Amino acid sequence: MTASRVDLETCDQEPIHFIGAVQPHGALIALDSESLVIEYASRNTASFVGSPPEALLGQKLGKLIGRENASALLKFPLEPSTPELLRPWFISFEGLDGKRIKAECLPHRNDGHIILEFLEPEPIPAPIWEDELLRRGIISELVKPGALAELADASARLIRDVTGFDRVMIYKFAEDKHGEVIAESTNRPDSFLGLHYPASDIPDPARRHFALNVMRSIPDINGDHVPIVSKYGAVANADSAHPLDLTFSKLRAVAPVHIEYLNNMGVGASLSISLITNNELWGLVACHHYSKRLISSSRLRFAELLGGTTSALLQSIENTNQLRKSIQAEKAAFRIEQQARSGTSLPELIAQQAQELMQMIGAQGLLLVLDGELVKFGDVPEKPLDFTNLRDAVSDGIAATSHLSSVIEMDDVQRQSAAGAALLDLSEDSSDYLVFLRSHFDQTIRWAGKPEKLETTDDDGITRLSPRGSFALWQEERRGMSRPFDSIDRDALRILRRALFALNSMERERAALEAQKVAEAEEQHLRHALLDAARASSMGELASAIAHELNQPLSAVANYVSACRQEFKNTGTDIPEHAEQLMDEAIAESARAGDLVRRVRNFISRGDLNADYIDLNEAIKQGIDLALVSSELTNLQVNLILDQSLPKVLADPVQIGQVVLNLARNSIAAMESSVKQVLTVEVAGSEETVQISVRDTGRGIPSEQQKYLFEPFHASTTKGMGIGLSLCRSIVEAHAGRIWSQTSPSGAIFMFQLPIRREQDD
Amino acid sequence: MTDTEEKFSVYVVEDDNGVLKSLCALLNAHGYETIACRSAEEFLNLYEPNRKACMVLDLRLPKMNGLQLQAHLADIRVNIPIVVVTAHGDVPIAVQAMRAGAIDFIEKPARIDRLLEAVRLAGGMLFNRLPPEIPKKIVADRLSKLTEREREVLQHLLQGKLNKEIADALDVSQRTVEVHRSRIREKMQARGIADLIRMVG
Repeated sequence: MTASRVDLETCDQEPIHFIGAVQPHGALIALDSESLVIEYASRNTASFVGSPPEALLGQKLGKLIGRENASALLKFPLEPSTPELLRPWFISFEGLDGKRIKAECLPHRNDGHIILEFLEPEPIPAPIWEDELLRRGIISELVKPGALAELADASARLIRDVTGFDRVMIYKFAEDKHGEVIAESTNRPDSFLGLHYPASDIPDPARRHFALNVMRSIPDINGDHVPIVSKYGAVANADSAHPLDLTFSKLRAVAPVHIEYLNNMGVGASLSISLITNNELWGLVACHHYSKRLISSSRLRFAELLGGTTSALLQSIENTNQLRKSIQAEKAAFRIEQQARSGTSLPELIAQQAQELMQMIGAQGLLLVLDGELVKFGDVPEKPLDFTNLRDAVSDGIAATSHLSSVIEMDDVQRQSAAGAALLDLSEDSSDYLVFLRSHFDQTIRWAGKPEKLETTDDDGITRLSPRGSFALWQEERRGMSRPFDSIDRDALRILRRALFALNSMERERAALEAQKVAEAEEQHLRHALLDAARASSMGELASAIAHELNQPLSAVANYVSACRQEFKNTGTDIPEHAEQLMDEAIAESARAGDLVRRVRNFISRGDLNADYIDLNEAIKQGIDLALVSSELTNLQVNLILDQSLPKVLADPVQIGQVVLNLARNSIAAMESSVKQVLTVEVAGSEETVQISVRDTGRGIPSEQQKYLFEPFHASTTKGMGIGLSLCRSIVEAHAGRIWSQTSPSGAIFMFQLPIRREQDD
Repeated sequence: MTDTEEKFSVYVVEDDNGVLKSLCALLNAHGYETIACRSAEEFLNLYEPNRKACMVLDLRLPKMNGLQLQAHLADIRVNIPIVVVTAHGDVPIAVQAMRAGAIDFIEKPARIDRLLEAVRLAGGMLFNRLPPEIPKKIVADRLSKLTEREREVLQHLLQGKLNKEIADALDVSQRTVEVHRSRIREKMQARGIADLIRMVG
């Protein structure tokens, strides 16, 4: 082994196509593509074309392989294909030593040179199995599978059959270039299936070569490097003035870092077949043999064909998968849209579909923020996450990362369940959004074999480039990260987001409309309330003004009566005792009137009650008496049914009297034209309440008035301002009671109820 | 009124014509000469410094109000005993008037005996008979009988606060304030705020 330990990081810059050497299982010569003069030759040409480099350099090609062959070469398609395939040219010519030489030549043109690589010709003709196995295998095994994993399995198995390698693995490269073993066929007890490798395991220059060349065959890892010398006498490597570009060479010697890697795994021979889809390196078929292994050119080409077929089928399956995922997303979106149409709200819909959506996106957690409200599904950190920084990455309404903790602030507990996240904006202002959360990558890996079973060959302490070391390295690299969101995921996310965004917009619009309606109703209500308040306050002011204006004449009346009596006294006039009494009553009544007016005003303007524990019967009787004084009805019959067992009730006697007065007055007014004029006032106490009813035999209450009866300024009688019943209601409600009316066939019934609060309750 | 030596006039300042005329009639009937004034301005016009007179003053007046007239009279050093008449609810203003030197105040509609008594009291001042002052010791004795809460209520009353305001300030019901008031009146042997102000205001 000639390789020295090489740092993986530096090899990214290493020009491996200027390695200036070939592997020993073939020989290389390079000619100037114009003059066809041989300018480079590998040191081992004698073994393959019969002449050493010294004999070849500076000679025209025709001299070596004969003119006819040389002119035939020029008709051969020499430009490398994309990607480059094996295109053998079987020739035979007479060597410079006169011996007949049969060879398989792989010619191509690159960078002003025609490079000819000579391999040992096939020792025996291609065996029958090739035809048969190819036909049956491809048709029955390779073409059938519909799933990626099955196809990869079949492909690995077939390629191992064809190549006879100990282990055939199929790698898939993720978008971030890291690799995963998705299929394996091996005769060894250990398994690499399911392992992931860091991107750095295959450096960029190597990746470039894999993309350009489908086949890379290394029959003996530790085979000698055979230097290529130029006509100037030097080895044509990167250090020389005239290096030879071996980009498309099939025999190119192996880079030291690769040798180390394979040796660490104990691999003796390797064969790689690039899997290329949509002109990109999709993955690799990596064949490992634990000793040297040179396979025939025809098998190699056969493997190449299998690789190409696998690639094509992979691409078709990938496309199908992508399409299927898109269709799945479209279906989910359609279902959501349909259910939304039937009136289900967006949060409900998401709740119903959460499991399916998470499965589709490969997420373990889902959270929805709508109208500032957070709903969680599946595995979501307890402590809320602030996605503000992730929002910076939003493009077309979507931001996704496999390493959330590198984007937003997270504590250790949050990191546990939210390694990766895809955020879907559901509103223009970004206030509504849906986030899919993915847990750690290694938690989501489906293991085929236990990692403990990995083969280890690192006796000398080299673990880094072993599969286990690589996997450990990859795990380290991936610490705190989730499986990446790939283009298939993003397509599905886009489809989902489009539907959800549209729905949310519609829902928002509807909500805005409803909010507007509510606001309008609210405004209407407020306007009415204001109007009521204005009425109430104007009523208060009115009452206040009336009280003031009434007080003046009332004072005057009292003064005059008083003055009058004094004048009689002054002149020594003998006032009859009865007249004296009348004057006293006049003064008392005016004082009472003043008192009443004042209290009503106070009550309306401040809601004051001058409550005491009173005999309600008495207050009611007084109210009725007052009402009867002003009655002009001639046939009026009054039934006053009092309840003498009533306890004393906390109430304002003047105001309760006022209520009864008002109600009785209304009743009397309603009976003006009635034949039967009966006013019945009944007091009925129960444990909790006392109910007072005032019923008449009048015209009743027109139904259109029922509603407004107790509101101010809705006069039911033509007299007055229509504040009577409103005042009654205010008074009754201030006593924590209620008042209502009924129409009976014979007239109207007004009732009010007051709570009985006994003295000990106070 | 037979005692001619103690004869005096009463300026009645009141903007309501009915009240003005009835008050004058009442006072006339009780032997007082009255000068009716419909406004503060009219009073100032009609006022004769040499006439022995007191004044019954309605605080609610157009233009210059009662309080302003009282202040103005103090400015021009007119020393005339004033009985204040107020509408109900104007108690705070009446208290102010008392503090500014009014003899008494009466709420409208006025009880006639209260009014006549107040006028007699005012007249007495004209003849250097100060209202019989209650000795400080007795006032102190009466005050000492008040509970702490009653004293609190008294302070509010002296500032002319209404029951509702006191109730809100002490966070009790108006009814409770009313109870306190009646106890205070009882213990202080006062008929009303005017008496209280005279004693401790």
